[in-house]
Amino acid sequence: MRLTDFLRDRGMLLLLHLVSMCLAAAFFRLTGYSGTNTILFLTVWMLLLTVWLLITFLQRRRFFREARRILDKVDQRYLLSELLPDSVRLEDRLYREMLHRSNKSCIERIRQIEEDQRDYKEYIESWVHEIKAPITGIALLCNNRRGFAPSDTIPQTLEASKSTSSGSMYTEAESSIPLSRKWMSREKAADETAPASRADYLTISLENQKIENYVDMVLYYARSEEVYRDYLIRETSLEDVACEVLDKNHLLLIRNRVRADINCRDTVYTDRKWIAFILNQMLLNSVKYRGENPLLRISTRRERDGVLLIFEDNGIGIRQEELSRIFDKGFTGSNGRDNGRSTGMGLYLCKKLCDRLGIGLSAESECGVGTKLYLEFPISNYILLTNDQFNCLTKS
Amino acid sequence: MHIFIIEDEPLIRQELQILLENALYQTTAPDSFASVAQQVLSAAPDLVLLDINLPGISGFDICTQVRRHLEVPIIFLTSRTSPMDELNGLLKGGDDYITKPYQPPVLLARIAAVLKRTRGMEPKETTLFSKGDISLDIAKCCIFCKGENVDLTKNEMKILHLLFQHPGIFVPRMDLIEYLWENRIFIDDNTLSVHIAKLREKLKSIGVENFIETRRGVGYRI
Repeated sequence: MRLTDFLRDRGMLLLLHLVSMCLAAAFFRLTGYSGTNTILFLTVWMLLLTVWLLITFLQRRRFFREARRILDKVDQRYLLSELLPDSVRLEDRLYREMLHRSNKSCIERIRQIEEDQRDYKEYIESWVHEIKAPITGIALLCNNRRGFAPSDTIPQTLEASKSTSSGSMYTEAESSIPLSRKWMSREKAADETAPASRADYLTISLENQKIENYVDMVLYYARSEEVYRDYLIRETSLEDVACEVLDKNHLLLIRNRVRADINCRDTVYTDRKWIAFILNQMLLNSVKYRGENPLLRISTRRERDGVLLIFEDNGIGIRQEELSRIFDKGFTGSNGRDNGRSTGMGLYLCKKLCDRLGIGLSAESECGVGTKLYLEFPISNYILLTNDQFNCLTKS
Repeated sequence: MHIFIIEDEPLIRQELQILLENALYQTTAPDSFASVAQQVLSAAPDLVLLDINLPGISGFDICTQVRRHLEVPIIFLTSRTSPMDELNGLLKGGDDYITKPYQPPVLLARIAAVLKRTRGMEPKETTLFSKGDISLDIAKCCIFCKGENVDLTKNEMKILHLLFQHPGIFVPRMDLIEYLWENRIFIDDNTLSVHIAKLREKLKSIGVENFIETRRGVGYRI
């Protein structure tokens, strides 16, 4: 607040005083007072006025400076009316009361919206959990029926190989149990499901997996704002996570004749679930935009201050001019338009999650050759230090 | 091996039973959960699969009740994915925590792992398979015929392993590839053909011919 502004603001008051002074001078003159007396009188008047104006100015300036200082300092500025310095002036009090009422309604509205949003988010999360039950049901059902063709004995070997491969402990038991008993429950199941063929169940499985992926995207989008509430940082083997993701999508990958090569020796400190989600999105992109003889290569490299994960495919690639925008929300690019089924959410979510997890994400691509996505896991000095200390301790 | 399934979704319950029975486990799966802890105690299973969200009762409570009397391994199967739930499950005495939707082979592998861990059972896995004069030694990773032998790569060995487990039956190519993927060998259809061709060459070098039969559109058989 500057003095000139202050005086301009008090223009009417000054004018009033000026007119009063003129009238008083005229009155003194008409009633026969001497000129010196009149001048003395007016001088005193002006002196008093000046002092009064100065004091008011200083007071007002102090008040507003204080108010501005508070405004700059607090982070929720809409609470200003609660924090304004006390003032004896009526206007200040009236204004403050009005501010107070206006803010109150504003805050109520914000609370309401926040609450609605939270309810919505919670509903989405619980919905995702509910929808996972039927998805699991369909997945199990397809898996159990896949390979059953009642007129054909061959597909049963699939199931046999499944059970033996996934849990080596029943190889013994299997050989000792007569074949007829082994397939009893399965034949029962096969009879019930005669109309659908193995290929149908495979297709249903694949579609079911797409649903699962879209559902996951919703869940991770809802949670991406509050990653900190939902992660568990621990030493994670990238090899395990990569294999888990490939395993999860093996039907899709095999059907699309994708080969994969995994070479991830390094471990990092991160949340396994979120990394799996990110890799899953990348993998789905690679399958979607695959080229001839699709090959996926996931490898890691230890850098000076972190671990670099390279996710490489030999797909159709991304145009140079679009490369910088692939992580933008809703960006589909020419590939996405040609494909027609892009949402532009996958990589956006990856980027967002990576930012929250403190992982660097970047891309390199050449049209027709392939795409490389880099995930950079930083290793904090703290962890290095404690590991070293740990080693020292164990050695001694 | 007896597995007790506590799951309120009828479809999942039924399919889990089929899956586990196909894997040669015995199963019990009640459809009411009022006194389920009692049922578990009287059935005395080797393993319990436990859902967390059940009508009227929480899986965590059942876990606590069962654990009070019985040291049976418990695996939580649930669609809750927050780390807090996982932590809670493990703190209540669960042995593993698997989130829906799960991959059936992964589920079976983890059940086997828990059983192995809790019972201290080392499965006596067969490492020597034979058919006729020809035998496959998993431990040495090579194949024998009448005193001659040839070393195999990991991929070739896995292919033969599956074929030897099902002598006389045509194993579809798709199943072979799936089996290889489950063993972290991520190859495609063409690569499988290449591996089979190399295998035939190797078999030829020890004097075995026409051991692996091909039937177009079906698969391979030994």
